[in-house]
Amino acid sequence: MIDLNRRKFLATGAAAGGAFALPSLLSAPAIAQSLSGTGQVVVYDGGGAWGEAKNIAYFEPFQAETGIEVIRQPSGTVGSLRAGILAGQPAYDVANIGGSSIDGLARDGLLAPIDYGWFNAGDRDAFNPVAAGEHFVPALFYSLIIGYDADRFSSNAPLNWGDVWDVDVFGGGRSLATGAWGPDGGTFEAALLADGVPPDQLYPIDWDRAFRSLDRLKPEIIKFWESGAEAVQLIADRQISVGSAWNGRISGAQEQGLKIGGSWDQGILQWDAWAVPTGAANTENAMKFIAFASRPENQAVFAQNILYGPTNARAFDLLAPDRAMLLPTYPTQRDKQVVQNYGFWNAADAGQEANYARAVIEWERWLAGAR
Amino acid sequence: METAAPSNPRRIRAIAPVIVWMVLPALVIFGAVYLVPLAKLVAASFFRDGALTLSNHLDLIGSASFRDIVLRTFKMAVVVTFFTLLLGYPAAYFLSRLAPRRAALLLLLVTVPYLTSILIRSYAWIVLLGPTGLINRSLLWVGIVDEPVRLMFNMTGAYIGMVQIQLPLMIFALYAPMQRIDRTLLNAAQSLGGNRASAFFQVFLPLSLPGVLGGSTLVFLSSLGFYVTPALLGGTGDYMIAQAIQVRVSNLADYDAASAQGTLLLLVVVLAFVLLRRRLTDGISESAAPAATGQRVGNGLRTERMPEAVAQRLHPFFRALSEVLTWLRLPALYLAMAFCLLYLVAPMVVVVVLAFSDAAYLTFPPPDYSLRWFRAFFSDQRWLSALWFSTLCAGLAAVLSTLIAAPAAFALVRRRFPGRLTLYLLLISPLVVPRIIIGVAVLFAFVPLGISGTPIGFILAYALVGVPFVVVLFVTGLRRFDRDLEMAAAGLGATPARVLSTVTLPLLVPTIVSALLFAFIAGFDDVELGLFISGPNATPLPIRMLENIRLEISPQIAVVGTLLFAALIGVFGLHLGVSRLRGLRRRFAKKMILSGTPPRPGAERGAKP
Amino acid sequence: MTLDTHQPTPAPAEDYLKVTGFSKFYGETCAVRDVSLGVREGELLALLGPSGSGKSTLLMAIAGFEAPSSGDITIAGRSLVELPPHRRGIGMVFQRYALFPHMTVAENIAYPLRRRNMARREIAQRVQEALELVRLDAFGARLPTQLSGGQQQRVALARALVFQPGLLLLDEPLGALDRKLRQEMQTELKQIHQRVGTTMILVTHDQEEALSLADRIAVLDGGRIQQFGTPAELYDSPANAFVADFIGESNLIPAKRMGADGTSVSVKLNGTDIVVSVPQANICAAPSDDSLLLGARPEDIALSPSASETGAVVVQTNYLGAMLNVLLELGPYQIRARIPARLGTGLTAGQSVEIGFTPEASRLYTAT
Repeated sequence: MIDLNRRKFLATGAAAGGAFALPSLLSAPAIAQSLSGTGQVVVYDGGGAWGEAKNIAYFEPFQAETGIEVIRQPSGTVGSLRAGILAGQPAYDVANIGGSSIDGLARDGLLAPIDYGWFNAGDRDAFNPVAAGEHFVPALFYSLIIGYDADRFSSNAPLNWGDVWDVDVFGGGRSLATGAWGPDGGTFEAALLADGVPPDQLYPIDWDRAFRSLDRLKPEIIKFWESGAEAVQLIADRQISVGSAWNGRISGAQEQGLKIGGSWDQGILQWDAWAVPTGAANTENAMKFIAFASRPENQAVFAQNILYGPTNARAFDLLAPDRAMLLPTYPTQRDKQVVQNYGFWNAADAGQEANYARAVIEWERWLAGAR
Repeated sequence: METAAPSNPRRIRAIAPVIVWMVLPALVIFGAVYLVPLAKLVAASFFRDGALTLSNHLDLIGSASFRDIVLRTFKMAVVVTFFTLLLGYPAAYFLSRLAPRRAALLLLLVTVPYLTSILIRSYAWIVLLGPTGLINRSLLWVGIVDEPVRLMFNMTGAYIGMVQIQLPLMIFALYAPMQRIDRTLLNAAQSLGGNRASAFFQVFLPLSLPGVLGGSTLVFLSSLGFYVTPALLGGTGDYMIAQAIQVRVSNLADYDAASAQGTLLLLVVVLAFVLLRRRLTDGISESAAPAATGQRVGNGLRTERMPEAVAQRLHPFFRALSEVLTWLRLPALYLAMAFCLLYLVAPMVVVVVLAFSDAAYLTFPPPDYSLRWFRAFFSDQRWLSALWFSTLCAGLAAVLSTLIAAPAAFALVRRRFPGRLTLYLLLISPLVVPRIIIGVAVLFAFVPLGISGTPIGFILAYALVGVPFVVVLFVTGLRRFDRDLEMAAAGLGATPARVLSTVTLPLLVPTIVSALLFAFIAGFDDVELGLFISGPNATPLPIRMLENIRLEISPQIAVVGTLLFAALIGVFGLHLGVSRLRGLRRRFAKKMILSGTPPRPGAERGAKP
Repeated sequence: MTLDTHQPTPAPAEDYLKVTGFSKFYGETCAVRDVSLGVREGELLALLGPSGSGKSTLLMAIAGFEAPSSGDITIAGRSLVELPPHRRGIGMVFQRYALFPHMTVAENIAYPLRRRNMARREIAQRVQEALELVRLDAFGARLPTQLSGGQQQRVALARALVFQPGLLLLDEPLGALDRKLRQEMQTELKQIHQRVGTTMILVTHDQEEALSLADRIAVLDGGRIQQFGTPAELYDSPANAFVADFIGESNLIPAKRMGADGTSVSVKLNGTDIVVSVPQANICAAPSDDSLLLGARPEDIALSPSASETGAVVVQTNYLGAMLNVLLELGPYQIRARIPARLGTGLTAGQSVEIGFTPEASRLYTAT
C-alpha cells in the first residue's frame, strides 16, 4: 500500500516536473526510483553476444538491485509473440520488438501502456532520436550499413548505396537482405537511396522505382541474405565483395580480425523497443525492468559491451568518446544515416494492408517476375 | 457405397471393442492437439472481416506471384523427388539385399542428416560447396575445372541440400517394399534366360514400382514444406510456398493469410493423399496385387508398339547392353551405396571438425583446435538445461508416441475395420503438413488447456510429430512378422497377453528401438513447434540454438550436433547388442515353439540358404 | 551293389548331365561333400533326402545359382561351371512356382521366348502349345494370383518347358499342394515327361513321390549320396541302414556277428536268443564289423503262435483291410510286422508270438 501511494505521488511528480526539469545527470541518482519487488520477470534474451551484453548491463544488476528474478527467455518471432498474446499466454513479460511491429501490436490492444511512474525523472524525455511512446520504450539502435571486403577495396571503398550499385567501379558479387522481411532488411530504402532519392523524400516508398533499382542490381546479387550472421559470412567467405549488413555484425567480425570494412553513409537506422504484452503474468515487474533498462548509466554499460546505440541519449555522457564514436547513434554518425520511418511502414492506404505487409506481397511479385 | 463409410452407425457398431481400444489413444491425442486446432485454422481462412467468404483463397489463386510460388514449389518438389529416387533406389536395393540386422545398422547411419540443426548443416554445405570449399578445391586440384564451379546460391545448391534431407525418407520408404519382393522371382527370370540386368528390369523394377510411388509421394509432399534450405543454399529467386507462409506467420503475424495459403497447400496434400491412397497405404493393404502392365489382348500377351523388325534388330543390342549392365551391376551398387553414405554423412564430418574449432567464428578448416566450445557448452546452465529439457521431453514423447501408435499400427495391419485407410493417412499426415501451421494450431489448442510452455505440452506436441514414424516402422515390422510364431505360442497355451509379452514384443525389439529412435529425433530436432509453445520453464535445445544462430554463427551449435552424433553412435552400439541378443532369442524361440507344430509351407520365406 | 557307397557311380558314356566330385562349403560348414552322379538323356532323376541333406544345394549348383567349391558339372560334355544361369538353358520349376505376379499367365510363359528374341507369331504359337500341354488354354490372360495352386504349378511347368530346355529342374514342385492335388499332379507330371521326353531332375523329401515318378533316385543325407539306383534297387536292396529306413519302412535291430560260412553270415540279435542267418548277397557291412544292424521290412517278418517265454509279445494290431500291421515287443526292441490280414485273425495284444526273419529278405548293415 505504501509502495502504491508513493508510486502515484512520484508519477505525478515526474510528469509535472518533467516538463521543467533540466535533464541533469547528477540529479538522477538522487531521485532514483526504488524498483524493489518480489517474484520474477520473464525477459526476451536474444542470445549470443547481445544476450550477454544485456545480462551484464540489465539482467544481473536488476536482479541484484530489486530482488526480482530475471528469467532469460529465448527469442521468438513477431508471429509467435502475437499468437501467445492472442492465446492469452504471452511468452514474455518484457518483449523486445522491432520498431516496425510495434504499431500493429499496439493498435490491436496487444501491448500494455508503459507505466512511466517507475522511471527516474528525466529519463522518459531523454530518448532521442526516437522518443519513448505510450506502449513502448526504445531499447537499442542498430544500423543497416554498407559492408565490404576491406582487402579488395583498401584504398577506394564503397561509401554509399550508389557505390554499392556501381558494379563497374566496385566489382564482385552483391548481397542485400531479403525483402520478404519487409522493412526489417532495409532493402527498399537502400534501393531508392542508390537511385538518387534524397533521404528526406524516401517516404512514402515509391515501389516501382525501388524495384526498378533492384532490377538493375539483381544480376550481381548472389543471394538475398536471411540472417544477420550470413551477411558478414558472405563477405568473409569472399562470396560477395559488397553488401548490406548490420553494424554490430561488421564490428563483431572486425574484432575477430576479419578484413571487413563498413560505411555509415546512408546507413538505415533501425531500432528495437521494450514492450509489455497484454496479459503478461508479471506486468509490474516488467514495468520496473523497463524503467531500469532506460537509465542512462545502465544503457552506457550495455553500449560498452556491444556496439548497439543507447536510446537514452544521456548515456553518451557516460561513454568514453572512442567507444561512443563506434555507435550508430553517435551524433556525427547519426547525421549520416536515415532513421527508418516505422510510421510509414505501419500505415496503410485505405482498404489496403499495412505497408510492411504490402512490401512482402510486392517482393513476392517481383521475384515471380509479375511486377 | 456403404462398405467403408464410417458415418454408417451399423458399421461403427460392428467394430470390435478391441480395435476401438487399440485406436482410441492415438485418435484422442490426434483429435485434441492436431485435428481440431487445424480444422479451426482452416476454418479461419474462410472468413474475412467476420464474414464467411472464399475471397481469401480466390484472391490467392488469382495472384500471379502466388501461382508462380506454387509452381516453383511444385517444380522443386518434383526435382527433389526425382533425385532422391535416383540416389535412394540403388541404396534401398543394396540394403534390401543385406541381412536385416546389417541393414538396420546402415539404415541407422542413414538417419544422420536429421541429427543436426538445419542451419549448421547448411553452413557445412557452404564449407563443402563454396568457391573455396572442399569440392571445388578437389576439382581444381584434379584439374577438371579451371575456376571454381558455382555449386551453391543457385538451384544446384538448393537441390543438393534438399535431396540430402529427403534421401533417408526415400530410402526407408523403398526399403520395406523391396524387402518383400520374393527373390526367387529373380532366379526364375535367370533360369528362363534373362541375365541379371534383364531380370532386374523385367521383374524387380516393375514389382518395386508401388514402393517407388509411395516413397515418391511421401518425399514430394514433404518437400512442399521446404523453406530454410532453399533460403540458405538457393539463389535469389528460390522462394517457396512454405517460406511465404513462414513470413506471414513469423514476420507479419497474419495468420489468416497464412492459413489461406496453408489451406490451399493442405488441399493439394489431401488431394494427393486421396489420389494415391492405394500406393500410400500399400504397407497395410492385404495383397497388393500388382496391376498388369501394358495392354492385353485375348491371349494374354501384350501388344507391342515397336515394329517387329526393329525390335528384332534391336534385341542383340539390348542384350549386349544388359550384359554390360550385369557386369557393372555390383560395382555400381557398391558405388551408389558408398556415394549415398558419403553424401549423407559428409556435412556431419564438417560439423564434427568445427565443434573442435578454437575460433570464435565458423572458419574451415579451423585455425586451431580446442575443446573450448565443449567447455562453453557444459559450463552454461542454459545450454545444459535446454539439453536436458529436450532429451526428457523428446524421450517421453517417443515413448508416448510408440505407446499410442504401436497399437494403432497393430490394428491397421491385423484388423479389418471401416475407415482403416483414412486412419492410416491421418496418422502419417503430420509428416507432410507444414510444421509452422501445426505450430500455430497447437499453440491455440494448448493455451486454454494451460499446457503451453510446459513439459506436458511439449511431450504431446513432439509425440504428434513422432507418430508418423512409429506407424510407418511398425506397419513394416508387423508385415514382416511371422505370425505362425504367435499362433504356435497360443496353441501351446499362452494367453493373448502372454503371447504379446513373450513372443510378439521380444521379436519386435528392433522395430521398437527404431521407432523410439525416430520418434525421439522427430521431437528433438523440432524448431517450429518449440517456437510457439516455449515458455520460461520450457525451452528446448533447438530454440536455444536458433537464437544463437540468428545473429552470429559460432562453433557452439556444432558441439550440439557432435554430441548428438556421438549419442547416435552409442545407440548404434546398443542396437547392435540388442539385435545380437534378439537373434539368439529368435532362434531359440523358433526352436522351442516350432518343434511340435508342423511347418506350414511358406511360413518361413527365405529360410533356405 | 558295392559296400562302399561313397565311390562315385561309374558314369556310362551316354550320361547327359554329369556331376563329378562336387562339394559345396559355406565357410566351415559343408553342405555337399564329393558328390558324383550322372543323368541319362530323357531320364527323370530324383534327388531324395531329408531337409539339410544337400539336395537343394546340388540342384542350385546345376541351375547356376550356387558355385561349386570344387568339382565339375557338365552337360553333353560341356562344363557349366563358368556359365551364368541364363546361359545354361536349363528350365526350372521353383518351390513356390516363382510366377511373375505382374505378368499374365501368357506373359509368364512368353518370358523365356522373348529373352531368346523369337518372332512374335512363333511366341504366340508356342505359348498356346505350352498352355495346351498343361491344359490351361483358356487361362492365358489371367494373372497368376487369379489361379489355384495346382494351376499355378502347371503354369510354372509350362514356362520352364516352353523354350525346350535340355534339362528341367524341379525343386519340390508338389510340396505346396495338398495331398489329393499332389497325386493328380504326379500323374500329370509323369505324362508330361513321357510326352516331351525332357531330362528332368526332381528334388523331393517325399520318398513316395520319388518312387512313383523317378526312373532313378539318388538318396542324399549329410551332404553325401547314400545310394543311387532305380526305385526297385533302392527298395529291395538298400545299401545302408539310412536308405533302408528312409525308403519304405525297415526294422533295424542291433545284432552281433556269430559266424559265417561261404554263403551266409549268422548273427544273434542283441538281448535275445534269436539267430538269423543272412545270405552273403544281403550283407552291406565290412567283414571286420562285428556290431551290425539286422534290417527287415515289416512285410518280410513272419509270425507264428508260440507259448515260448522268449518270443515276442503283441503290443498292438492295426487292421488295414488286406493287411494287418502288428506292433511287437521283442526284448528291448519294438518290431513292426505287416502280415496278410487273414493270417492274423487270432492275434490280440499281450499274446506271445514267434518271430521269423526271412533270410533272403533280411539284410545286414554297419551299425552307425
